[in-house]
Amino acid sequence: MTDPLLEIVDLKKYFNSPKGKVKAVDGVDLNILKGETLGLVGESGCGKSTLVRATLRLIEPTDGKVFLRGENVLAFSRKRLVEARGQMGMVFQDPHSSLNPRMTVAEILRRPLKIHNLVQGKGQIYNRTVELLETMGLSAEHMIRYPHELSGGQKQRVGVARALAVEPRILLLDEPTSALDVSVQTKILKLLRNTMERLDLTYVFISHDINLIRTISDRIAVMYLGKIVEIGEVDEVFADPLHPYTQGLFKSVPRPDPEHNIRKPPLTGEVPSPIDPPAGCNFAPRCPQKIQQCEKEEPNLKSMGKDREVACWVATEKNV
Amino acid sequence: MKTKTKDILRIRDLALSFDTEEGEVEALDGVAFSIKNSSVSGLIGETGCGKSVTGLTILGLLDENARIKRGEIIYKRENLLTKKEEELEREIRGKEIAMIFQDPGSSLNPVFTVENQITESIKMYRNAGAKGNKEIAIEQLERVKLPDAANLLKRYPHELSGGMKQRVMIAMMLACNPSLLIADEPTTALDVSIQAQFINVLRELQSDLGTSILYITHDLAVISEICNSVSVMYAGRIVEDLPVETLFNDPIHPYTKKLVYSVPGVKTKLEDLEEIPGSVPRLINPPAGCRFHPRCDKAKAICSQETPNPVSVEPDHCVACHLISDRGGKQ
Amino acid sequence: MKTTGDKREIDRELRRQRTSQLYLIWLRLKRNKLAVIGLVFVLIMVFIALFSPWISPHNPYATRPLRKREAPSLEFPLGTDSLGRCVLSRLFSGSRIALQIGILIILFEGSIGIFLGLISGFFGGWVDEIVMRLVDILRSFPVIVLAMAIAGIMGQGIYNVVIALGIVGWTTYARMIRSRILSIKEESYVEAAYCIGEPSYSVLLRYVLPNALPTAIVMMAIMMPTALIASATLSFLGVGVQPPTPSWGSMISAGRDYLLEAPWISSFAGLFIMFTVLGFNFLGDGLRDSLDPTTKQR
Repeated sequence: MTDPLLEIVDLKKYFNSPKGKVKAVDGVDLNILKGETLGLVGESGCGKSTLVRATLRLIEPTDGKVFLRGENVLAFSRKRLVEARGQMGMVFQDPHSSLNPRMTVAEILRRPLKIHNLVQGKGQIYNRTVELLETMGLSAEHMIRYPHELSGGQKQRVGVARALAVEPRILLLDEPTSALDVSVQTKILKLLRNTMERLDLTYVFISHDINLIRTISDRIAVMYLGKIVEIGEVDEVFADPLHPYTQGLFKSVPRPDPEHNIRKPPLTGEVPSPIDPPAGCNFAPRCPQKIQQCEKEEPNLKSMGKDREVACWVATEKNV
Repeated sequence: MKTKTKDILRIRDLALSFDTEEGEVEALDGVAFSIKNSSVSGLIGETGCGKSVTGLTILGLLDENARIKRGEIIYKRENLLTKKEEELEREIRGKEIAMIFQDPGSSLNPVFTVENQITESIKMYRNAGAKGNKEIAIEQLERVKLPDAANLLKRYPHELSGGMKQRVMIAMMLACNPSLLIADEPTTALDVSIQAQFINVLRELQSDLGTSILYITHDLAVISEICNSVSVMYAGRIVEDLPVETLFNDPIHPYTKKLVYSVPGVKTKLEDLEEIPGSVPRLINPPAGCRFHPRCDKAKAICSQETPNPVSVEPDHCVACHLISDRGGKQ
Repeated sequence: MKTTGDKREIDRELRRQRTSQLYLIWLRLKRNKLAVIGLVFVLIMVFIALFSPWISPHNPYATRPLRKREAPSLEFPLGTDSLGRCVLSRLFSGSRIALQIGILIILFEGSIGIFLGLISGFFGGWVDEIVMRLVDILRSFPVIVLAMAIAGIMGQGIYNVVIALGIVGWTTYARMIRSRILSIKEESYVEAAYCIGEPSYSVLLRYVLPNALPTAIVMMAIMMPTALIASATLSFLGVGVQPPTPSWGSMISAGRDYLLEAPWISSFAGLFIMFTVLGFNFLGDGLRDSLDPTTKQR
């Protein structure tokens, strides 16, 4: 349970824009453990989507290393990359645009089987396709459907089935339920949980919905402006968030509880532009607890207690 | 019914359909609810349940293929549905009832500065001369807690972030002192920290000005933060009307129950989360009887035959469900 | 459930669905009155072109020196031209040439433009740079003058008209297709295709191309009138189809000296061009609306 399946080391992705370099992901270190669900949270523009795309080399990272079972994916040739992609699946946010509108569900699921030569023969391919659909609570009759004939929830389940078709070890889920209604969300979450147990999978689950991440993750990583600011076991982080950003973020989350009210806005101001991130700690300009050091030196992730890492000067001092 | 005078808006038996190439979409079918004076009412439901259409109908902002079949929308003793377009434009929209939308970007005109747009609406409703209007504008922006208001006036919408745009919209709308504000998913496009700021501003303004708000959203958590009462919509009908505390503690309608307990955060374990089988019905040929019956695990024979009428179980709590009699004692 | 019999059934169902997609497109087209009118116009022209030898009252090449510029009569429904040839028969016969040239032009420029637009949009980088600069350069020439120059160099005749017009014409397709490809590339199904290990050529052929195809078809329908007018213009200017082959453009040109005394020679040719161009325009617009994926479903 504790060996890292995927090791991301100092990963960076800078985009060039007319106004300067956009540091979308700026030096992220992250270990993803076998069999866990790692929740990745952060507000829009924090780089969480870029991080998973760079990990899969859907966009080429600027710098860094990604080790999949000890081998650096970023150094792979095209051919080996295709093999590596057979071990990592991805599920996309928008089910409406993530399925090719000109392919039937059957074709969509057949492609990964053919590319990776996973099953031979028409009959076998057919059986496997049905099996994948059934894993996701769909049935053979959906094979002949085009995506636009399915509901949002069904489309997303086809999206998951496609990701599972390559028989991956790890599944990267980029806001897989945020385009769906809550009543449909639960179904997908439960299917994902069952599949994980059955196939011994590892999940990286991106979401902006913090209540959701709390419900499904084992560990949680909080991102702010291209960096991970806090990471740890879900229950512990929620019980006692150490980074001031994590604290503010959690307090901002509306809770479905009429007794609970967000009185004073916990976080003031807005996320600064990743083009010219502030010197020192990225969060310093909005941080209510900042000290002098915060505006000068950049804090790195430091271990704080069991399995907990925080990148903050103040949190360190509080603990010492 | 007894509290007639205290309602600022009352919708009765509103039915509306859209003509599409695939057939007639029965978008609203007998929608009825009311908004009390100076209160925040929520309208909650999933995609396509008709909650946004309801908001647009109040202001007469529907597309051409919409057909109102029956019902009335009583605003301060006047039926808005019988008013002419020019009357709505002149007397109601902006002045009496204002609306803000999900996408603040598209509601602001990109070629005018914030000042142009705010003073324009101030001019229309309470002209105080060029200088006065600007002062009112600054005052409005400060009211929604936008820092450096004087400077902000010179900016164009594209220079503002989503959260700022949404607050400018609020400032613009409230500049004319409307009695009712319809907010259609105003925070859906915003991040949680910005959403928290926005909700806070809205709540403060509401208690200062006493504006009534109809808050349309799919997000139960947001409802619990800001609303006093909620109407739950499903497939073009209101299934339950209840105070927000009851929504989380003692919902009655099977759909409301499932909905509330499917939200992560109410329950924190995945095993405890409810799921609703199937998906929202298409409204071209909606299910007969109770529109929820095909997905309801408690459905009886009558549910697929007769449309349930809303029954009052408590003074502020109405439910439209055939199973309600099972609760006996509650009545 | 997993028997082969079921599979065959599923295949059949699949085929049915494909036809029902076409049927949907037809349903949408049918609701558009202008498109139906356009379709009728086009079908009439196609009918005339196909059957002109049988429906023409006379031989379009037969000259009658004694019956020059005769007004429309029962014998010559649209009169005769300066050589005494039957105008109606020549118009019918000209429709063959016109449609033939039109179709050749859109196939020629369409295939170049769609191919170049596809690779420039998909691969980007220097390929895109080269193609797009070429487009810019070609578009800065006056089309008709360039086509005249090319026809002048290569000589006259149907195929040279096609090449001359196609050499500039493809740029419009390339631009449109390229921008469509750029937007398709942003769709997450393309990202998902790479994710499951699809190689680039497969992404291009299986994901990008099929989704760009409707745009290409609509482009061709919309470009048809432009091609017809351009080829008529060339004929009018005398560098296109050569006499005595009947072409609408050269008929207008031939009749322009007698516009007052024998208006039927030019004006009916003009009407035929207008009729055909309108037909294709209406049909093209209708197709655009009915094939557009954004108007699909609700």
